[in-house]
Amino acid sequence: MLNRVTTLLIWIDKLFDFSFRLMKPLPALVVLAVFSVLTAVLSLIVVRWTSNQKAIRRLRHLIDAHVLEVRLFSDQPRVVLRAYLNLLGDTLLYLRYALVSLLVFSLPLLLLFGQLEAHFEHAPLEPGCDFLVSAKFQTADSLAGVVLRLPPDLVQTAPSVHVLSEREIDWRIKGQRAGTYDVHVVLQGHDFSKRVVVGTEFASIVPRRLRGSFWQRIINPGEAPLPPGGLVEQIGIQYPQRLFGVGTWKVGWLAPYAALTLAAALLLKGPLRTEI
Amino acid sequence: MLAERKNRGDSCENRYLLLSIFVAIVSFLIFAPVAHAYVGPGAGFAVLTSFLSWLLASLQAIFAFLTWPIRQFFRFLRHRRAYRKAKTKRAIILGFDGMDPLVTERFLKQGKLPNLARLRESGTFQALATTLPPISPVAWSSFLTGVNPGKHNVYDFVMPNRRLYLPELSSARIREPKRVLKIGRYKIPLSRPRISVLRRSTPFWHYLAKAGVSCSIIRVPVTFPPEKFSGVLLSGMCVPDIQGTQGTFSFHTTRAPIRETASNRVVVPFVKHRTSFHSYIPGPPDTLRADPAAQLRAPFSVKVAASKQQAAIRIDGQRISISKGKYSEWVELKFRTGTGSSIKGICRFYLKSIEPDLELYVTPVNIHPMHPALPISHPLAYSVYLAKLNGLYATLGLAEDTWALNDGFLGEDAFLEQCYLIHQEREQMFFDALEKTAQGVCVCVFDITDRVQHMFWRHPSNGHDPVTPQVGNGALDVIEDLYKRMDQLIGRTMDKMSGDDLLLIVSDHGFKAFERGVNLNSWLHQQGYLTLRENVPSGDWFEGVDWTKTRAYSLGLNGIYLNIRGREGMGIVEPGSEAARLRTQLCEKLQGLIDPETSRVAILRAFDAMKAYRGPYRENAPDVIVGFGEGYRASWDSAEGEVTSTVFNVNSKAWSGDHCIDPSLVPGVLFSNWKIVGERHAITDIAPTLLSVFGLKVPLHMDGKPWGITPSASAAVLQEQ
Repeated sequence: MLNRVTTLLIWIDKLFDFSFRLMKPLPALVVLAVFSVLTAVLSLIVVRWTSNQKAIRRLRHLIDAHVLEVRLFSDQPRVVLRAYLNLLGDTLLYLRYALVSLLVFSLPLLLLFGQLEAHFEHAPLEPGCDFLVSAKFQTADSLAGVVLRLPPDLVQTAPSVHVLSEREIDWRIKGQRAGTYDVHVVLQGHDFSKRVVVGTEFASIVPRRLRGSFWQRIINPGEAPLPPGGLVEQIGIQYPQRLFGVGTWKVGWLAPYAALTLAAALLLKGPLRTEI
Repeated sequence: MLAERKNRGDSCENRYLLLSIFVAIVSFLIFAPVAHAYVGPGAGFAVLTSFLSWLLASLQAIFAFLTWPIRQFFRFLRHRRAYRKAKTKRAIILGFDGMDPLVTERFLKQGKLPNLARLRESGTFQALATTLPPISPVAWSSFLTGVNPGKHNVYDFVMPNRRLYLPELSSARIREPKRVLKIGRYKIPLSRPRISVLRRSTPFWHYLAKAGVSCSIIRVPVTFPPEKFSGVLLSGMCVPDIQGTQGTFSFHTTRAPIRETASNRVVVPFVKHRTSFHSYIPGPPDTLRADPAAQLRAPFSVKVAASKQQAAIRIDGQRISISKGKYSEWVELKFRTGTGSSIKGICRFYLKSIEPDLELYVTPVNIHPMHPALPISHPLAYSVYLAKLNGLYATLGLAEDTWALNDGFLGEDAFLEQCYLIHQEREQMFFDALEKTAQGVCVCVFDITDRVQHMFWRHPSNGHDPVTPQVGNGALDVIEDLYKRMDQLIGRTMDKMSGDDLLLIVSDHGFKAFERGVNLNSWLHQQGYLTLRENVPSGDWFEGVDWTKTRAYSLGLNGIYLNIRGREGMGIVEPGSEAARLRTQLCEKLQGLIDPETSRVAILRAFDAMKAYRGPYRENAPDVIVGFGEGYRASWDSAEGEVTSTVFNVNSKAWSGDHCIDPSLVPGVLFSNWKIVGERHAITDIAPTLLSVFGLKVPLHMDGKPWGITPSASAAVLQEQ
């Protein structure tokens, strides 16, 4: 069962990689906008087919009516109070009606968010800049025999740091040229690799390769998990965060994604005849 | 048995599986450390709209609560005298258009109206004098202003445009925008249409609201366009439909080969395309096009189910299933203009028949209460609020489609169903307004009593011989049932009242049979007051009339107008003494006019407007007002300005009850839970009485006189005084 799900997840990875490759020439914000619109459309479809649209429409109207009630009869505190209580009650009822859609949509949304985070949360490492590779091991004893093997375009710029209490080794590395590389952590003849992306172009970035828990696999897609029961628990790369410019502000991907999704949903709910 | 157990077991397993999935997802969402970051926007998406509403309402509520003491303080300063001298904290006025005192009395005697009987016993029941003429817009205008028509300027539903001799609405005027950009065949409006109220004088709720008394006014006639005051108001009779008319329905059929248009209706043929039938609903005038006849349309198609009992209507992306002989819910329509904007309206469909011909009735397209193309409430948000609270509702002034029944496009059952659907909406509005008016005045007028009596008076239940031989099944009890339902409504209202609330039940006029029509224009023609051009047949709206030789003409239900020089477009009667002589002459000749066929008095009295009215707008009144005798009324042709060969004719239409006769024959009703001293009270007295009940001074211009009115318990004291 788990194998089947893992296979499915690999296929999903491939699908997303393919679609990201198609959009490679586009600026990251445009790619994010495309996914926002897709999320909105998908959510609207799910909401339309899994919720009681008539009841939601009625509740939405009632909620609006209570808002207007507060405005129209503001001189009558009793009416305002009752309108407000009715509003709270109807809002809760509305949430109850929206819950089924939310539950149905939560799993695909989670897969989607994993993929989006892999692509939008971090930017690639800049060529010529130092970065850290850290590996965490099952036991502190095994730290002594660990060897890091690097491809020719990656060079170690400082001796490794062993943190015994954390069962962790950190290496300072520099990427000399743009490209996708694999770093290898070798221990007792076993090779554990981790992909490293250096460059300026838009690419799938996976900051951590973890040992294969099912949920971790869903949340951290893009790279196969480390073998279960192996000596290495995780290998991480310290990527810089990708920031989007909104005016003078720099924000992470989640805020523009949420805003764009909501805007698209509001714009498209009419054409898609969905009540939200 | 085994199979049943297995099935039960399967369904249990399914339930457990679903439950497990549910628990797993919820647990995951709650406990997965990374997930919480993702759930944010997902949940946000789901709750966005409700959250925003909640936030908005919270802010408003907080603001309302925080500022309430300050507002109350200023309110106290401004309105410290409100309620101080009031005899009651709340007055409820229920208007039943056309409720007849004699019919009420009969049903009371038969014990069929228990709630009204309670009022009669503990309070008051008497006839209420109506206005001259006893027509709803006239009488309700006097109700709300407390003045005679000479001061409120409403004399009929329509009045003539004195220049063109064409009818115009007497209560409101809707004119084109002031600024329009003309480009070839197109006209682009640069401002809003101009709407003005033609009714003059001030409604009593303006005085009350100014004094700090809360007012909720629902569907009182002649309140369109709504005027600003500090209360809530939903306009009633005289609100137009989306076409700007007083109600134009459309009828779609496979029988009609071409489009036919008449006043109040449009018949549009269906065009068959493969398995569906296509047609369109006529909409408002296309104001972008210079051609005044250009109209926007809402196309739709109908697909009949194989069972031949149902059909599916597709309109504007919506699919509406409708059964034969049933009404649809309100359907929202969009009429798209050339600029990309749209005018929204609502209508109901009624599937009349499928075989041998597909026949579909569509109600007049009402102004959408959530997106009103014209203002129908004050504040504007009030109509929106009512629609959001109770669902879409009829906004048209004359929403019950009497024309459709009169002209045979709707059956009696369908008409009645329509009336009660509309009435239900009105009841919901009224009870909401009543709930919101813990203190103050709540007024609501129900129209159903008028419409149903107009259309069903012919039936023998009213002690009259049926005029038409066809009497629908079960139709005998229609009026009795109507009165019983109104009594129940009154009962439910009384249940919601507190001890010292004042309740007034009023009607603007009563009812009598409309058996024979009198064509006043034909009479004027025969008497030599109106001349037709040679070899030109007479038609609607004075077609064929030679105005250079015509001294008088009749338009509407009771009025005769003189063709006065300087006032009318081609007037020949000199104003002053000549006009006065002519008025007197006409009154003398019309008074006591006998119908030669029946030897009955067709016209009881005729009134000289200059003597009957007083006030600044007396000049706008018809010069002579005709008070028809019982059983008579202006004929259908006469009302539309047509001259026919005979003066008298039989009214064979379903519209068989009327009240546009001598006012002494059709008084309204007055019920109250309080004792009212004296008799022969008039509808004009209600406004001053309400002002007096709330301790306000009655303005001097009001013609009505406040009644001596006290709660039942203290009535004896008042009698002694």
